[in-house]
Amino acid sequence: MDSISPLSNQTTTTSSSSDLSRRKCKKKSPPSRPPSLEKWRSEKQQQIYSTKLGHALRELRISQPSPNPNGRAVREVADRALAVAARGKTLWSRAILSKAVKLKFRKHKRQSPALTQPVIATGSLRSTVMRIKAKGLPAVQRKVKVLSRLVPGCRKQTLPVVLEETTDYIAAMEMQIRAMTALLSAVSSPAEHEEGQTHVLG
Amino acid sequence: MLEGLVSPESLSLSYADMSVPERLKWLQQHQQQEVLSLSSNDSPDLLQILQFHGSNNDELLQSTFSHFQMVGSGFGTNYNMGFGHSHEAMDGCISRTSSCQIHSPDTMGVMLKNSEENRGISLKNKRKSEVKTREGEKTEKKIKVEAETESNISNKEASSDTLKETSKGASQIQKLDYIHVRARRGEATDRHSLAERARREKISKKMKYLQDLVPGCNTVTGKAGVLDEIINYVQSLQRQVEFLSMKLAVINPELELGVEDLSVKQFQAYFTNFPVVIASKPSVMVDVPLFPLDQQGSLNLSVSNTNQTSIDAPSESWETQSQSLFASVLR
Repeated sequence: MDSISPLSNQTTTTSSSSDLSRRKCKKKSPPSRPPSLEKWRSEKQQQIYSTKLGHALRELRISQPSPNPNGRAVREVADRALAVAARGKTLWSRAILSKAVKLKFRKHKRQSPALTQPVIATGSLRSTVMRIKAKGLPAVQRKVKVLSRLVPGCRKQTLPVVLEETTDYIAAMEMQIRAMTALLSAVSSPAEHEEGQTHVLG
Repeated sequence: MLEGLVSPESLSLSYADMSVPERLKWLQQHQQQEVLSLSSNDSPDLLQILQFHGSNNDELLQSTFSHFQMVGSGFGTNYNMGFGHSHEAMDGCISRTSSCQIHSPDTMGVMLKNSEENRGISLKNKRKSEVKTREGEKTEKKIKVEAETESNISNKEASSDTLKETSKGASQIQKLDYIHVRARRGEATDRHSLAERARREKISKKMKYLQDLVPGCNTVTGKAGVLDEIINYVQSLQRQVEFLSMKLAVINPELELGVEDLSVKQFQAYFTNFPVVIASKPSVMVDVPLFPLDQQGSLNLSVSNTNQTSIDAPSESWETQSQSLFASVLR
């Protein structure tokens, strides 16, 4: 059978080509990042964030003059600054900002120490995470739930949404950490010769 | 005659690669050939289908041809009904369509092996074997054209099921610009499974992004492991942020002095990009006490080394704008 050999060649080629599933959007051969991630990696974004953070911290210092601001309060401020830098396009940024606004309203209403609420939130976060891990759901779904609780604002979201928010959240947090370390190093290293100069506020 | 059936055209053109009009032409050519060459009533249909699918699997083809000729016209309508159903199976393993009762055990084994995967189509019980064998075939969503040609060939009674499929296919094809998914070899082709597959592809794409992002995820395979890594990474990032914020809180009194230098430089870079500062929230800015801002303005001038007079005015308004967000929230 002379016809067999070209036919068999054909089988291999066609099977390999048919195994690919094609999409309407063209295939990206290099694994390119979504544009949102590029945004968080840019230097400009980091500068914007650090300035915002700087001002917010100053503001915080003014509002809480006597006690040194808590680590928690600073963290809240930093997260809020990050959410502002995200311009509210993502779920987690909106959730962070709305958390702060809700807090403000509750404070106005009850005049009770509303600062305990974020304490509870962060405290319960860890416990719910551990509780979810212990449950007997299918493993992947369990982990997705855990992840959705970790990322703010994604508690009741579907899996693709959670994954997208996670990518953006991770990129944003990396930038946040970079900016904060830069800020710290800039403050701590020239702190020696800065103190020698004007000490306006004492 | 066998060689004539397995024409060089079928060899040169793989079925999947042909465009639609080419396929039509090819089909018509072969139909004409087969009608002439074959004697029985049923076999033209069979052979048209066989050629139609453009068999890739030559050995099976040869064996089934031999089987067909042995059977002859013994099957009548049953056979045609079976083939009517098989039209969706656009691909070349024709032996699968011929399944039924004629084949020798070894070919049956081969066919069954190929056709392990399920099709979601419900069929009559008689055709179970045909279903199984047909399931293994490659399918396409572009089944509109084939359906048309096949309806010419097959009986109308058999095509009731196929018409549903083809109508689905037609509607899918008409939305050619929406999503074009080619079903892989041996997978079901009904709409639900295709949508499911598209959804799964999206999810896996997103997981791949995450894998690139999270360091150390490349070694782990499987969704659960990757998700574990992601969770750990997110938790560690959050812990880092907390740690850094505590450090910042400790050195906050000295923060102002150092920050000024940084912020000034960043200000300059920032303002080149943002020439216009919009004071867009006058109502909110009312809340902000201007007194400490004035103090800070003076602080800016005193501490920083660079010339800030030009930047100072817009910087203050920018400060008020950004701080208004925090102030209104904090108070």
